[in-house]
Amino acid sequence: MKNVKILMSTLLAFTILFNACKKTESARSNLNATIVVPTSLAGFALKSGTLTLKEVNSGRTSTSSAINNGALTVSLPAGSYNIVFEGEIESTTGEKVVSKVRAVKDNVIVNGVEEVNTELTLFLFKTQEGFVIKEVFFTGTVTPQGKTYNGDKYFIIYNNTDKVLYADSLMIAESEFLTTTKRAYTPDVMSTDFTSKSIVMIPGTGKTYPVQPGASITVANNAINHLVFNDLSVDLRNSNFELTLLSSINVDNPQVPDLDNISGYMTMHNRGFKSYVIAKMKGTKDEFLSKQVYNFDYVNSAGKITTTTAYKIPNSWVLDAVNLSVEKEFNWIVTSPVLDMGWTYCGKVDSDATRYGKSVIRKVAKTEANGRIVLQDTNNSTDDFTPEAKPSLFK
Amino acid sequence: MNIKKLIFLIVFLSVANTYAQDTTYVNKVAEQVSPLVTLRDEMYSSPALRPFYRNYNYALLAANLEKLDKDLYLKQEGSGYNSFRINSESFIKNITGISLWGKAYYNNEKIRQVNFNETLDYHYVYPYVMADTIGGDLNTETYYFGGGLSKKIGGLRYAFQGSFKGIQSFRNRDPRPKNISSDVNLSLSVAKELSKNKALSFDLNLQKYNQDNGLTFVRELGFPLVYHDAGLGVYNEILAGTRLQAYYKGSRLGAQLNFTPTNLNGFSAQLGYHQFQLSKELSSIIDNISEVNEDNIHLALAYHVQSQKQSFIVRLKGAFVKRDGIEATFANIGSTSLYKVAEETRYINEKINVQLNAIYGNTTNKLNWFVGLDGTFANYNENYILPDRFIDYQSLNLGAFISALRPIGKSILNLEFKANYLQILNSDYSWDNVKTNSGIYTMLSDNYEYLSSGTFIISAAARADLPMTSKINLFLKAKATQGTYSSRGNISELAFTVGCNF
Repeated sequence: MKNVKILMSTLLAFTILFNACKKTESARSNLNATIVVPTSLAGFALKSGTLTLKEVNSGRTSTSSAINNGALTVSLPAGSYNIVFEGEIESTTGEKVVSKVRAVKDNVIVNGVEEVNTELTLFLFKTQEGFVIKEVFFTGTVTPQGKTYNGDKYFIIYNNTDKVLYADSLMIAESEFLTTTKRAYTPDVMSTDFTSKSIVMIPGTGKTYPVQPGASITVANNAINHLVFNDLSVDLRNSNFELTLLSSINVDNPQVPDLDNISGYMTMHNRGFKSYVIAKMKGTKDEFLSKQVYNFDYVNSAGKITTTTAYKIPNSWVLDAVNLSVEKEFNWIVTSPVLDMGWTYCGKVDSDATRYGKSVIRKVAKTEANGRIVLQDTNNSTDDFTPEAKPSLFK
Repeated sequence: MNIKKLIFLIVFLSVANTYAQDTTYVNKVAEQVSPLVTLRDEMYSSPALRPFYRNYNYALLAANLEKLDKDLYLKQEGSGYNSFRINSESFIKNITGISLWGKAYYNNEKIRQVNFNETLDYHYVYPYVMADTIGGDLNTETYYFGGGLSKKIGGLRYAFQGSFKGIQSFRNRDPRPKNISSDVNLSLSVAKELSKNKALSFDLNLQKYNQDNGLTFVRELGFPLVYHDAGLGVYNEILAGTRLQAYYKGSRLGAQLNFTPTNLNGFSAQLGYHQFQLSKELSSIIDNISEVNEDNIHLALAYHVQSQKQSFIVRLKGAFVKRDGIEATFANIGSTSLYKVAEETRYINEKINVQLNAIYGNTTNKLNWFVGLDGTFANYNENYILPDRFIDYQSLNLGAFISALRPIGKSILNLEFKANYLQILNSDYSWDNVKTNSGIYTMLSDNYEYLSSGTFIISAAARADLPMTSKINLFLKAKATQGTYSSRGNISELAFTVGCNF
């Protein structure tokens, strides 16, 4: 009986001991974010804003708007944080002018022990009027027999202004970098240029291809009636342009003008790991190919240095950009955040079987009195696009 | 692992024990099937005390078919199984010389509806399994070899015991896990026989565990999200996606102090402590993504008596298990491997069990019968921190059984009836940060329903032993179990065994 009492007392003591100390708090440390107004915005001062911090391991998001002397302090659990600041600046002299600004910084590491200081440099957020990417159908389709079918992908580019625009020399470029594989590329030109090896361009002499306000142009992979081969595909014979693909998969429709391949072939990544921009070519194709060469290197997965070559399209040429990725593989955006600070998707995981026959389509911002539709363009694809939408050309 | 080795061991163990046929097989069978002996055996688990744990030597070879079905179950463990097992055991007692024992088995199992878990050995690696929402039936094959020896040298009795268990599991449709685990256990033990038929022993227990856990898909159109569970459905988003190869490395170090009578009559006690550590790695990431530290303290006190006519045992056993899960957080800084930012304890699982067993037996020439009662109080607490989630429950399990063994001619018939009633005294949970339309929410809810459901289970078993020759007897056993969960659904089990004793 004595032994029984000893046992019960021991177990009770353990129960109390471990229940008393089982709940632990996660270690936290302060992150001090200083908002820097760059010299290009001299004469302006920070008015207000909100800091959004996303911890990338957990997906946990925190926000703060408590700006004190141009800085915000947040107490955070250990992790790796992607930080976005969105706010307004106000002119300090003369007539009061208020402008929207943003700042972005990725991979700010908080270890839960030491205080972390970081700087966020503002850039002006101002949408450009002009051509925008209205839709990218990059996933392809599946046949009734369950086989993948390619060649029916397309882009739609939209005149988002109230003026006639000309599509001549409009380039479509696919990013060389993957949004799912982050690497330290040297030299890093992302803040000034978009890197690509797959670049196509609408031909013309300057005023060959007018696009009316609110009208769009379709660029098909193969501008044929795909329904002949796949009941679950689309008729693309009415496309405005078509791509010239690798000879093994290219089907030319002589009724539809081809784009010029400036560099490589535009095959369109069907898992949605790459990003796209439209940009106006400045100068000739030859000048571009000679002046915009970008030699860079990176450490590959085997730990060795890989040196490679692509082309860089100046951000100042870029009219619109859309980053694509999938939630479970996303690492980073491969454009400057000034062009696009978000990303959209078809499929949530790598090789998502549900992605086929889906598209990303830009949302409508408003409809003018004359019926012209204005598409939403806040330079944030996360907000501007409807992901996993039914392709607009599908019946 | 080679099936030939298994057969060789079976034959070796069987042949090695043939000299033990001078005892009456009725007494041998009675000892084999006695519920009191089964309970008492646990008090003699120390290798150095093993020579004292039975009165009779034995060797057996058996084949077993079993089917288990559960309407409520842990999703990670499956809804039941069909299994086929070949089992061989042997025990050769020699108090003054070398005592030997061994066991080998091969188990082929089809586990049904394993979901949210593509990893083997859930009880070892939880909560850090590779998971997806698809899952399905899983095929496993297990090979086990174990044995030990004990010998008295001078005033002390020394013993060594070792075992190897290898398991492989696979599925022939997407998702296709291909997992191989190895589990090696070694025990070193030394005992001192005290005066008045008492013995004290000390065991040192070592374990080495490894698992290669791989997953592939062959479907052309794609595959679902694969993630690495960190407990209660939480997972690291950076690690989710297509990281399909994981490696587990575990080790256990423990010690146990044992006090038992050498004549099977008297007071027994065990006090043990084990610490288990496990790490999980993913290919292409240098640092461990998670680690487990588990402490296990257990104490058992028993009093048992066995005479010609009557026998009884009363045992009180308590165990406390605390498992801490340590999780790393990473940053993707563009290098070849993710950069480890920090690590901290995020998962805590505590289990307390207190069990009281009492069995009384009566022996006559015509009938041996036993009655037994048992009660178990269990306290379970599972926590994840940030986001905060938990499952708690306390339960009381009450059981009773009666069994009878009767010689009929040259044969022996043994019947057993059991009833168990599990009452959940209190239970609670929280995972309000999970989307209610997600698969993980359904998994957590289903697991909680299983854990917080009471049960009423009855079972019946019949065994017949038939002497084939003067040295071999054949036995046949059938067991049926039927039960209901208090919330919904049933549990049922059928088992058939055919074997022979040498």
